[in-house]
Amino acid sequence: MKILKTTWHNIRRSPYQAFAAIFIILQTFFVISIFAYVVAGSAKTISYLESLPQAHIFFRNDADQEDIDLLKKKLEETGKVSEIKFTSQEEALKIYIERTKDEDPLLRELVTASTLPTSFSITAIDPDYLAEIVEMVKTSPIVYQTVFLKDVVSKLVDWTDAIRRVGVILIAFLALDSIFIIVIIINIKISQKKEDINIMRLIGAGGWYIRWPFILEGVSYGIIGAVIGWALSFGALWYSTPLLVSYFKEIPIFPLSWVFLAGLLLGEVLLAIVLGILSSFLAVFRYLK
Amino acid sequence: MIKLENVSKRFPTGIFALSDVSFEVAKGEFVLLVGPTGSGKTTIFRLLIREILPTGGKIMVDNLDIAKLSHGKIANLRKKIGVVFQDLKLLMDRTIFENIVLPLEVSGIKTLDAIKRVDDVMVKVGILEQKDKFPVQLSGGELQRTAIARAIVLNPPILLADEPTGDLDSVTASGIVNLLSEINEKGTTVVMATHSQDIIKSLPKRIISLDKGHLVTDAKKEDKK
Repeated sequence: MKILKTTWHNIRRSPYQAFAAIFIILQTFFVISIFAYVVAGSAKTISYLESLPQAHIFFRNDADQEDIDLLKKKLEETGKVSEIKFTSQEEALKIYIERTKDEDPLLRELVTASTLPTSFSITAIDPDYLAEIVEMVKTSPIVYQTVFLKDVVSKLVDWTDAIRRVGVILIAFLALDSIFIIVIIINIKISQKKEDINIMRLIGAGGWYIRWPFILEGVSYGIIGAVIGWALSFGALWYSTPLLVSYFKEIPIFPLSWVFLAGLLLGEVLLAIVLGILSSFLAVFRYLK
Repeated sequence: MIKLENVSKRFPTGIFALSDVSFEVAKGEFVLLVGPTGSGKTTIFRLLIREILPTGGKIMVDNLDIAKLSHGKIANLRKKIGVVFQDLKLLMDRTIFENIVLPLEVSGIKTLDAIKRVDDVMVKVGILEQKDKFPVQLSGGELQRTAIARAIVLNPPILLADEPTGDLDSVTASGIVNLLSEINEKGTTVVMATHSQDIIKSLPKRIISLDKGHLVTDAKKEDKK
């Protein structure tokens, strides 16, 4: 309790230094939180896309139903397809209307069933078969276009990996910044209290009695910065969730679950404690030998 | 209780602060360490609390060779020796109570016990009313009493007082000396450094006289009474 009291005194008596330390740490944790949201959102998107049929084959408008059925049969005979779902022009129109229900009705009226293609949504037994299946149907004269979802997913995976890498580098730099700032601030505090520290030593204070308040000060900056950084990112997420929900429509990314958000907060606080301990130990053992 | 054997201290500048000084202080004794400025009085105190190490000789405190103490044991040694520093060394941003309670906090004494002990010692030295004030709000005599209170709050067996009457008027100085005598009467070994002739003359105590780092006289051999 006495050590906590001394720590609080140290923080309170130099509020600008405390503010500087907390500010840099909150930036670090704000960025960590935002990247965590992006990565979690990407993972959800990828898993959603992976759950969808993996390829779509769109037929020309003049394609005969007989030819379409023949192609279906041919595909089933390969033994590599687990599901083929046929979408008629009327069903395609329904889907279109559902997806564009919030948009200008005048534009919707321009689209009729006859302007939309019939299609197959194909799920392969093994995603590796998809390329072969798509290659096979591509040559068919009734096929107008093929959309290979694996390309989309792998592109998204690549993007997510790139974002993750950039995030890790950025966060590493910000974490280093935070460590340096805490080391400098604790060093300033130690210099300011040099006389007091000397007096405490002369009246019998052990090394740890003197060191603990400085270490706890670093940890306090870390925890406060992490909580504020998380809270700000949460506020930003909360504010933009309605917009994100309408933007991503059927992809169920938002709102992010409370379990995820609470886990993120806990993880960030633990990381902040580690950062705080690391930086204040560096300062204390460098300047309080 | 305290034993110095041929102790010398040479500072890096080459100046000898102490040269071949030997004396002993028995348990419960009151000793005056006298001499002009620069005679080595403060250096002896700094050596006794192991703030500095001797260049030569041996220092024993409570049968411990203090030069051989580990870092952890130095803190224990300092808890056994209360010191009234010449410049008082009070923490200016803490209240009088917070200054006095510090040795108890450092020793891990429980809060309630510590509060009671601080109150008792403040009554003893007569500064209870100044409890919540800061050092800048106190007079010279009150500050000396605060330093004494902090030095004795742990009930150390040894009390070192370095010029505790330094800048005080004669009445206040006499009050401080009486206080130290009372502390000594209760069994604490007191070593007081002073260059005040009034105190030296008025106190019927053993006098160790130093000059330029040399022990000049040790009045233990003479009967001052």
